[in-house]
Amino acid sequence: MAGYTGRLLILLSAFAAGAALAQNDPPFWRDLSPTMQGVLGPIEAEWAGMDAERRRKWIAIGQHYDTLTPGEQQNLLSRMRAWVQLSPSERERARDRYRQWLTIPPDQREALRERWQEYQNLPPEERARIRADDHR
Amino acid sequence: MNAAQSERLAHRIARRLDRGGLSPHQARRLSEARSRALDGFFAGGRWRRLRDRLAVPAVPAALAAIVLAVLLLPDTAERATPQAVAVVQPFRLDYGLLVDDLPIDAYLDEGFRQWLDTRADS
Repeated sequence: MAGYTGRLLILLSAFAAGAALAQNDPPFWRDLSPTMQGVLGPIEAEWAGMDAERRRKWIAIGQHYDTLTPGEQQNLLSRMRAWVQLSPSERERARDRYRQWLTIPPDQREALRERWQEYQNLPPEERARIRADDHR
Repeated sequence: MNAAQSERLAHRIARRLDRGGLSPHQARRLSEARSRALDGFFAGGRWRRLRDRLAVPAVPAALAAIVLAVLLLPDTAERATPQAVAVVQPFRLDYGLLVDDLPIDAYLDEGFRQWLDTRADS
């Protein structure tokens, strides 16, 4: 039994060490250009906790910043932090639904944006009632 | 030394050089070795053979590249929309979600989906 526990502990330590090593991988925040640091500023606090793959993904996103319209740039800057603070399952759910959304024809997407605005204009208690109905 | 061993050695040397801290004597020896290797490459006829081999197909290839570039220019010059990037790039979905007009909450708000369904039914 002690042997089993010991091996389990070694295994868990190895996983922990692996995770710690991944977070010590470049690219480091200090290595980013000042421009990139400016774009990714909203997630600076979370950078150290990310593995190398996630960091590279954010750099790829940052590299497209100049190609965005001012409105899109604003969207990006205002959503980054909320996005990294979502749980992995919430991020996956949002990705799944965005994938579905991409298959909708552009005119219907536009209609959906308008529906979202309408929904946002509902009184908060009305929205709470709809959510409660959904869980029933 | 086989090819794999040579490659490992080359990587180790490159890592060591990346760390820096060479003495002036080591730096000079490396510089001399590099010059000797390059002299051997150019004088040995390999450079000439390589240049001769490349010269003939290079002209039509360059012309073909220019024609292709001109043909493709109108498409590539257009701005890739976030939705287009979302379809073709590896980091695509997150990028699209973050910049698109519809906020992330719209995808996660179960009430919104329920409300859309009831509207569709009525």
